[in-house]
Amino acid sequence: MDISDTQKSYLTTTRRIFLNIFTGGIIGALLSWFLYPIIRFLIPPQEDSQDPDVVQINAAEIPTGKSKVINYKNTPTIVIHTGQEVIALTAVCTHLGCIVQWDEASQEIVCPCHAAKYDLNGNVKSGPAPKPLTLVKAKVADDKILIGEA
Amino acid sequence: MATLTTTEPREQKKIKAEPRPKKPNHTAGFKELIHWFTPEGFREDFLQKRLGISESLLQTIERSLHPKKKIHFSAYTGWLITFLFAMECISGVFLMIYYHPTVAEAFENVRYITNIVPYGWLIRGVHFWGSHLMIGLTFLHLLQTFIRGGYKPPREVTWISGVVLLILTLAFGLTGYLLPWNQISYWASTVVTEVPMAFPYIGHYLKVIARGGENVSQVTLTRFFTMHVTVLPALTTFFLVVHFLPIRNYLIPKDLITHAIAILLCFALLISLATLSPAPIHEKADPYHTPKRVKAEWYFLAGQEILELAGNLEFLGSWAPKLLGVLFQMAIIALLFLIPFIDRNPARNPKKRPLAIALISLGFVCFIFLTLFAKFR
Repeated sequence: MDISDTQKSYLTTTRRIFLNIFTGGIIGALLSWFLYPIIRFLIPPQEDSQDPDVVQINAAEIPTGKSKVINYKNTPTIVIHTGQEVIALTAVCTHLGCIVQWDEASQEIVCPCHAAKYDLNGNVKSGPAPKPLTLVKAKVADDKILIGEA
Repeated sequence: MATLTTTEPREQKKIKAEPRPKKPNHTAGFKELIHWFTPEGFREDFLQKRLGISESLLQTIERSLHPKKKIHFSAYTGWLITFLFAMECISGVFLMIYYHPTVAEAFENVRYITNIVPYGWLIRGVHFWGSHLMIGLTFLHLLQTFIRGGYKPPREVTWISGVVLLILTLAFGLTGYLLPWNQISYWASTVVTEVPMAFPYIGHYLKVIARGGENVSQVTLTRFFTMHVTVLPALTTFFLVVHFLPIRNYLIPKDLITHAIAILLCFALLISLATLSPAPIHEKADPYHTPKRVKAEWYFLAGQEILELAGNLEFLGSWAPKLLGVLFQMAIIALLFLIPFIDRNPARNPKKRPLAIALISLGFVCFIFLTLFAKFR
C-alpha cells in the first residue's frame, strides 16, 4: 500500500479531518431536516378501519365441496364448505403472497404460484410455504355463514 | 472426437506452462474510492478523469468561488427561475402520488393532501407559491434582460427561446389552476377557454379542442392534467436547453457563492410563504353555480382587463371587442418575438437606447397598472 505524501499529510492532519467531519455533519443534519417531511409525506396516513368484526355470507353462495374468497378485515379469506363443516382460513400464501385455491379432488388447499399445499387446518403439506395459513373462526347459523364468530 | 482426444494432453501442458495469474488486489478499489474524498483526488481523479471536466472549467469555477467583484443581487433571476422550475418538478411529482385527475376525486384529493397527509400542506404550499414566484421572476427576468439589451445579436436565440419559456410558464399556470377542481379554478378555466371564441369561424373549434367538449368537464381535466405533467415539462426542458446553449460558456456566474446564497434565500422565502400563507382549498367546483366575481390569477389579470377595456369598442360592431382585445395581446407577444430584428440599434447601454427603454417602461407600467386595477376593482 503506497500512498502519496499529500494523502499522508491529509490523513494525519487532525484539524482538517475534524473540520471535514464537522461540515459533513452539518450537511447531513440539513439533509435529514429536508428528508424528514418528504419521508413522512410518502407514508400514507392510517385510515380508521371500518371493517366489521363479523362478515355474513349466504350459505347458498358456497355449495358443498366448493369455496369462496371473501374480504375479512382487509385480508383475503378463503371459506371452504367441505360437506361436514365450513372452514375459513387466510387466503394469502405464506410463501410469496398469492391467493390460494381449494382443490376439491385432492381435498387440499393449493397455491397456484409455486404449488405450496396446505391441509384443511392450514398446515403446510408440501411446497415452499414457510408457515401455515391462519384459521379464522366460522360457523353456520340457519342459512348464513358467519365469518369471525364461533 | 479423435482430434479432441489427441489435443487434450497438449492443452493441459499449455495451461501448466502458463504462469499463475496474479491475485487481483481487491482492496485497491476501496483505496481509490477513499482517494476521491481527498481534495487532490477529488479534483484530478474524480472531476477531471471520471467526469471529464476540463482544467480551465475547474479554474473558472474556482475563480467564481472567490469573487473579487462587488456582490449585487440584480442578475440572479435566471438561476432562481431554473431553481424554482426544479422545485416545481420535485413537489409536483410528490403531489401526483396522492392526486387523481378525476372530477369525483380531484377536490377531495387536494383536501386530503392539504389536511391529512403529513407535510402535505408543505409540499402543496411549495408547489403553489413556487409557481407564483416563478412567474413573477420570469416577468422580472424579461424586463431585466430587455434593459441590459440581452436580445441583441448574438443573443437572438436565447431571447426567442426565453419568450417561448414565458408562454410555457403561463401555460403551466393555466393548466395547473384547474387541477384542484374548486369553484375558482373551474370558473377561471371556463372563462379562459372561452377566449378563443373571439375568432370568427375557427373560434368554436379552438374552444372545443381546449375543453374537449362544449363545457369544462372530466375531459378538460384529463387534458389539462396531461399537458401539465407531460407535454409542458418536456417542452420547457427542451427550450431551457435551447435557452442555455448559446450562453453555455457564460453559465458559471462570476460569483457562485452569492448565487448559492440567493437560491437559499429564495428557498427560505418559498418555505416561509408555504408555512405562513397556505395554499387555499376553496369550495368544490359546481358547474351549475357561478360565483359572483370570477377573477383570473394575478398574472392573467392584465390580459383580462385588456379584454374588459376592449368592450368599449362596441361601436365598431358586436364582433369587435373580443377579437381586437385578443389580437392586441397576440400582437404584444409577436412584438416580443420580433424585438431582436426590429431594434437595430447596436448599443446595449440603456442610456443610449432612450426609445426602447421608454417603450418597455411604458409597457411594464401599463402591465402593473392594469393588474392592480383589475385586482382592486
